Amino acid sequence: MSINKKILKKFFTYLDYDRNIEEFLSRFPEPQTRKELQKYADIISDIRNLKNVRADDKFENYALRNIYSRTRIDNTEVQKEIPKKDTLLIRLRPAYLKPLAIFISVFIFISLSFAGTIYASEKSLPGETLYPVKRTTESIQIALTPYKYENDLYLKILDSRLNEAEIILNQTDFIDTVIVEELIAEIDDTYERCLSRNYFNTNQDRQVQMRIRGIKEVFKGKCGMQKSSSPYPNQNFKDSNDTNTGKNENSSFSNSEKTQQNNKQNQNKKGQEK
Amino acid sequence: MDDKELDSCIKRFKKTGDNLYFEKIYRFFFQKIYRFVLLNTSDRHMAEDITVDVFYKVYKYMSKINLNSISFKPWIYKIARNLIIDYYRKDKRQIKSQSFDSLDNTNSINSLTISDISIENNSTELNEALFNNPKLLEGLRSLSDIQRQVIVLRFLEELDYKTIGMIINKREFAVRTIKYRAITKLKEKLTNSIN
Repeated sequence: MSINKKILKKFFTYLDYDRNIEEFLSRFPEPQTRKELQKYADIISDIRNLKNVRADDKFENYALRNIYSRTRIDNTEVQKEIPKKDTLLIRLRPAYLKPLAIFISVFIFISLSFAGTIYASEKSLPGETLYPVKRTTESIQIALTPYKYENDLYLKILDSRLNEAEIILNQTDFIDTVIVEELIAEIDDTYERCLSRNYFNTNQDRQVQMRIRGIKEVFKGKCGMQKSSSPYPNQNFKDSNDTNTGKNENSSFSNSEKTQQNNKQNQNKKGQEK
Repeated sequence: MDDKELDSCIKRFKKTGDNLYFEKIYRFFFQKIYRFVLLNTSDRHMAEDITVDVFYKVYKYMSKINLNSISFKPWIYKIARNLIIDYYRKDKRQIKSQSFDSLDNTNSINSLTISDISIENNSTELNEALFNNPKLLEGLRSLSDIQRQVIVLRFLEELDYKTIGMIINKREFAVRTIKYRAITKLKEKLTNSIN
């Protein structure tokens, strides 16, 4: 037989607080419901009787001693350990520290890679992939340095150009004439600029002139060897030799025109060779 | 032990670290915790081990946590409950490995009954309590873990519903419904077994 849920719940609240059940049971005249409810009450009183379940007193004392000995062992172990240093980062650990650290590491990585490419580009030659990087860094340097100190910078750039040309011309392999001609035009240009602003000492001027002349002669010789079959050999270099004397003021202008002509001719020659 | 006494014991233990105050708390709670653990593990030796572990943890962490008389009871029962759960997790693994070796499950949890314990145990009081009503214990074993815990905490330890809710991570209302279902289930079991 099943009893109404509401009645059962009410009865349970009576049982909860260990009140007198008789009063509650007297509300129900039917003997069956009384019996059922009494069963519930019996179960709960049985459960309450389980309070007699106890551990041994001996065990209780033994357990206490066991706990004390364990804690003593722990304390000795703790003393052996070196105390952790309370560094500032560990003590103050705000929420933004982690993203900040990531950001800084990424920033350092990127800047290092930039610096690496720039450092690597210092030894690059024209025609290589890193050469434009070198040129842009130079232009940035020129833009950033004040006018008073541009003196050394220009001389440095001129020196590096001359070095590049010498290295390229010393290579026994096939020389890309277009690149070398552009380089020589560049050299002439910077040389003119240096001259017009009086950056040179007397000795330096002569040395640079000698180097330029040497480069041009070598280039002439190599070009002659490579293009002996061409119909107009060495036509351009007569004029460029004239500029080397340093008397023509508009030589930079004429040089750029000549390089353009050179390029066209070279392209024609290549087409013919093919 | 009143709430006031418990409060003062906790405070003094925190200040002085004197074992005397811990011992007072220990004497008050030891049998309760042991009973709770025993009825939930159905293994006497395991219950003893777990109760020692519970009080070891209490000793270790009592001075480190902000406690008062209100929060102490749920805290200590929660430790016991968590350790019981840990024990079952470990035990399941052990049983698996054993069953592969010996190809029989005699050591599994299901085959251990509380009546087995009473035969092992020689202490008189425990035996009496368990022998008097083996059916009730079997009925208790048929309940789910949470139902059994609620019944034990409510009728044996006489905690109020709020603290029980804090121990088993449920709200008061949920605890009441769990109790209701547990009692009806127990009654069904017992009447069926009698018939």
